[in-house]
Amino acid sequence: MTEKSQAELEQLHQSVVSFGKFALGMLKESIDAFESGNTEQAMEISRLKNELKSMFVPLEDSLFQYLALYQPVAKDMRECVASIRIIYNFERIGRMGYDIAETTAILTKCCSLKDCEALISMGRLVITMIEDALSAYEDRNITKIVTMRDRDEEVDTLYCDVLTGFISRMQEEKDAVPVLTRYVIIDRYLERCGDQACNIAEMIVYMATGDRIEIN
Amino acid sequence: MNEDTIINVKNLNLWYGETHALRNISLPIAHRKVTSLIGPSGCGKSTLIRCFNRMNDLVSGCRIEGSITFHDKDIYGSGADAVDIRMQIGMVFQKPNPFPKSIYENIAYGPRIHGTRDRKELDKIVESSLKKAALWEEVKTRLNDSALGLSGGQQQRLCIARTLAVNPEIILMDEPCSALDPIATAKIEDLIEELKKEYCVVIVTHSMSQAARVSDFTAFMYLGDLIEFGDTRQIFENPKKELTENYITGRFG
Ligand SMILES: Nc1ncnc2c1ncn2[C@@H]1O[C@H](COP(=O)(O)OP(=O)(O)O)[C@@H](O)[C@H]1O
Ligand SMILES: [Mg+2]
Repeated sequence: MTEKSQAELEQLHQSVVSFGKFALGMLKESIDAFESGNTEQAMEISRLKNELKSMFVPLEDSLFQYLALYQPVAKDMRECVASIRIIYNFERIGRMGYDIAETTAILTKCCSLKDCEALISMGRLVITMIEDALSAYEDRNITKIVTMRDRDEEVDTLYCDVLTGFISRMQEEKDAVPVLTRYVIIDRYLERCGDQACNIAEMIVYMATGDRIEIN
Repeated sequence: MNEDTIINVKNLNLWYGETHALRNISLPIAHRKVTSLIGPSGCGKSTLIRCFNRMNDLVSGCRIEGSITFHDKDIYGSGADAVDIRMQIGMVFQKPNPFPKSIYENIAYGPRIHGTRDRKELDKIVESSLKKAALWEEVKTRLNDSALGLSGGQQQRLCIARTLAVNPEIILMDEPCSALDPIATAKIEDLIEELKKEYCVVIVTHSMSQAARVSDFTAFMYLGDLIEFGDTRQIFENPKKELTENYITGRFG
């Protein structure tokens, strides 16, 4: 590997980190907007969807081109293919941030937000998982993601508890069904974000060690 | 070592005078597989491959310790005959080296000195060897033309055909494509893929991508040591030794 190709791979690594931060930012803000019921903030995030896409496509292209031009092997190959998978996972996270923001915008316009602490704390938990995955990728160090499976199980349990709670509330408060249905959707988005954090963690383990592990 | 091992190298040490060129090398070579030897210039690849058919016997001051067995018989043992061994274990070199004779004579030469005189028999050997070397279609109408008129890639396939004509089990190739263009190289690589159905192929290459493309097993050597030997896919996806990793990813120096 020449210095040029090494520098390019490092540059790509940094771009993946920036992209990850951007996508994670969308999710974080969508949860903030949901918590505060801020329509304006929610709509702001919706507008980032195109920017997310316009970062994703060229970054993916650059990674494909890197494979074609330099035909990396061993850890360079693993970094390249792991990055290709990871940006896809981050793109999904960003889009779920968008979806949560869209749902929030509808909620804040039509109905009042109430009793959703469980959802918010679940959101915070998922965010720390993604933050740790991002920092593990950035440092190429798996220490922060070794507990990912346990954390994902916690999220799955929360998802089920929250869902059960909403369902029983729907039976008692028929008027709240439109709101609660949207809460259920957000509950599901957050659970999916936890899965994406696990997918990212799996790829970081492959990148750093060459081992294929399964987290979820 | 398992039942597919055709050559087994055990604790092999080789000196050229004071130079300790191979250091305690042990490795199995599998039959009907391609094994590649990679490593920086001077690490001992050619020296090792030349041990397999006793070409180093010809080098004065060369001393060998350890053992190399071919079908469980020591090729350096007292009963072993170097000429026989070189017939069963053929070698193709970096620079195509056809004899300055006709295409036909290049192939017929070996069988003839090993006692085949019958013209029909020789014709058959020439045709089948050229076919196995994927050269027949290109030369069948001009077998009596000089081999020196062939392109570099054709000459190299002719040299492979010449090796095949004496019925070897193993074909050793020392950087067989380094003088060839990419298309001629691809033809040799396709040929190697064909050959391994019947023969054992050992190839020295300084092209890592070639080793990755053609071989089943890869041995990485450095300064006379065998650093890592394994399944080619494992070596190129996740080498165990840092030295191997640094070499194949080009972080050397
Ligand atoms: N005929 C020879 N006489 C003395 N030293 C030799 C001879 N052939 C090779 N060497 C030395 O042995 C070492 C290994 O060489 P070689 O097997 O040709 O390496 P490689 O094929 O990996 O480039 C080198 O240090 C080289 O200088
Ligand atoms: Mg050599």
